[in-house]
Amino acid sequence: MDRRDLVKILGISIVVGPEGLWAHEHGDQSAAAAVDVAGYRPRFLTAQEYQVLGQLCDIIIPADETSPGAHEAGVPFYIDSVLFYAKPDEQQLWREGLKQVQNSAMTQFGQPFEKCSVEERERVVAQMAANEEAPQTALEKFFVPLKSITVDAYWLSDAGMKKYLGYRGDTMLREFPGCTHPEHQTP
Amino acid sequence: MANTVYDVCVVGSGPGGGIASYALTKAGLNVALVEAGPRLRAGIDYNAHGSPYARLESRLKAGYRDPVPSVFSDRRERDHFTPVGDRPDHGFLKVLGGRSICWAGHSLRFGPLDFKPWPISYEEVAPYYSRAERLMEVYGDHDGLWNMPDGEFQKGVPMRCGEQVLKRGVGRLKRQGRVMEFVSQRKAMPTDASKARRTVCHYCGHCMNGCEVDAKYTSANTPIPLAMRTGKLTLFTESTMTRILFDSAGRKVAGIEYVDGKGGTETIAAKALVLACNSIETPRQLLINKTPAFPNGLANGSGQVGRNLTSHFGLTVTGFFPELVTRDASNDDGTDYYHGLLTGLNWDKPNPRFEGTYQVQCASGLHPHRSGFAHAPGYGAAWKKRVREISIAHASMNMQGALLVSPGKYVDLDTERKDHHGLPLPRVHLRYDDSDIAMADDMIETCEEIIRATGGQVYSTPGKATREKLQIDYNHWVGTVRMGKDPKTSVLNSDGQSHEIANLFVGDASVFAAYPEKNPTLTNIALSWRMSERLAEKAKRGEI
Repeated sequence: MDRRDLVKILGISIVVGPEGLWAHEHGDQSAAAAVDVAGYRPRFLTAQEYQVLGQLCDIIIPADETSPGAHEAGVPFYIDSVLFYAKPDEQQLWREGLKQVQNSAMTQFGQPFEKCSVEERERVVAQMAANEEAPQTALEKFFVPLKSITVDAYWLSDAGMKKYLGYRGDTMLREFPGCTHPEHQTP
Repeated sequence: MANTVYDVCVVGSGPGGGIASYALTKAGLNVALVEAGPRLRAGIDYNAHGSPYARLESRLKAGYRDPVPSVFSDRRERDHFTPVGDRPDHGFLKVLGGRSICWAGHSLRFGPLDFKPWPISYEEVAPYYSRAERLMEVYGDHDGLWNMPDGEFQKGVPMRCGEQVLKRGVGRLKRQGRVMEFVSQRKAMPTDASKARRTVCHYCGHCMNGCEVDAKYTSANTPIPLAMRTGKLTLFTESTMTRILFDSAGRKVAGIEYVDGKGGTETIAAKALVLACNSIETPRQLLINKTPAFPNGLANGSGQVGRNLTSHFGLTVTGFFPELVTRDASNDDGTDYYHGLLTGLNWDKPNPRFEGTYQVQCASGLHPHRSGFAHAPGYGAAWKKRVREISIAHASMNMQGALLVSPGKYVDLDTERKDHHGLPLPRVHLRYDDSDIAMADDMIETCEEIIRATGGQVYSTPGKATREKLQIDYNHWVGTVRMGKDPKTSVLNSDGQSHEIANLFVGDASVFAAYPEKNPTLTNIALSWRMSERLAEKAKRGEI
């Protein structure tokens, strides 16, 4: 059997250069690349809840000198989209959790979370995260799904992958270079 | 079609069934290949490349949670068996090609030591390994290891920094007299454009999501198209076997009954049957299809159908290497996660604390689609910096140990739960033995030792192994329809043919007579190829 026969049988085309193959196989993906996360209007959360969510996410993953925070990366867009399609019990859990955050801010600082100072908001999150591995209170329990999806969403975002992690993969290479450092290989 | 009598009906199109359909048609036989799932098109029905955010909406709309498509997690069977005991799981994918669509491609030959308990030797299987490696296009280095023999390789794929650093630690321990080896992985994807018959691998790391250019070997992209080309293969997709049919004397298989995609019940008449359904489904089918002549289930005079269940199991130890924090981590994709392999442990002499052997699959590098490290406790700026560092500068060591064969591990039929054709679901019984736990403890100690020997810190470890911490490999089950010389203690002869029913053969990994630490697929393919040739020879001699 020669290569051309197999290609014919499989109904795939083999293009010699990787760029050519990329264009052939992946054209549809790159065309759909742009998502306007800044202009996104929430479909499940209310505007107020969405604002609170953005502030919570930004305390979990803040901006620093290398990369944007979770809010700018589009994490609230990701979470609201997931919740929009989620089952009612999960939607309820989030609505309830965000209400707990509001109640906590009102009780401690006399105003809604989104109006609190940065320090006050950070204090609420510190309370939420106090017992991360064995959460007890409703607020502590809400921190678990909140952080989990914030992390996943940030890592899959453009800013998370490219700016924070410095990732340039998901591409096509002719060769995989691997480790080229003699010091890692010295016995 | 109603009057067609096929020479062979093959049920299941995974690694074993795919190669059987090729080998049998190549030998001139007319074959019907029956697959419960549909045919998927690489690059069209699956393709994990691209921006997850751009795809989020369409993925959510289609009912998926993860914006990165993955054939296995998107389509795997759920609620299709009853787990009993220590959290057994069972990976099952109904598509043309079966789980070869989503496998990682790891292709390691079993060695002479591994075949000792078998009715056939390494030397008898070696020519089939060679053929399988050429067809599958396996890459690898020539390492010269006596119990993981070299094969017909295309050029190897280098390790990343993290795997190299582990290898350096193994080198140091070897100089202190420890017996172990650290080598690059061997996988079924072409790397050499001058030799490749499929598309050359482009090192994007999406192997297990489904290779969208068909570089990675699958049943659907190589043996099944080749079998079609002979003109001797008839493909029945979206067709689920519901019964095995017998001749009027009730001693020989006459074909199968199946339900097609539209719900109609049809039959396929065949002179021989090859079951290649997987190591849980094949014993299930043999047990379900009991007849007056075979009251304990087909081919089960020995009572061994469903017994001798084994798989791989494991735990993970992760090391952190400060020297790697500043390296270039911009593209660590490669051929999925594992580029290194710790092996050669306990080949020379058995460990007194446990039975059997294990290997450790080693991986490193920054992989944005695996945010595992970022789920470590904490949040905020310092945490953000730390999880990036560990992601870049880690190496993870994943134990793959052979589960001890024992009476507490087996497959039988559920007496209450049935599938939607009214057939009993299988029950998978798993009870870890003390030997299994002792093996895991040895692995944990060894991995921690290697990490420290090369100047790293143990970042995460299970500590002391317990039954609750062990994780089963739900894709590596074997042994439930084992081959052997003695019909009293085995189901099949060394040709993969039932001791009792001359025209019933098995082509999946349930035939394994014993299990080493190495991944099962290459051996499954080599053995199914050998079985198919023996079947064809017997058919020509009129013996079936």
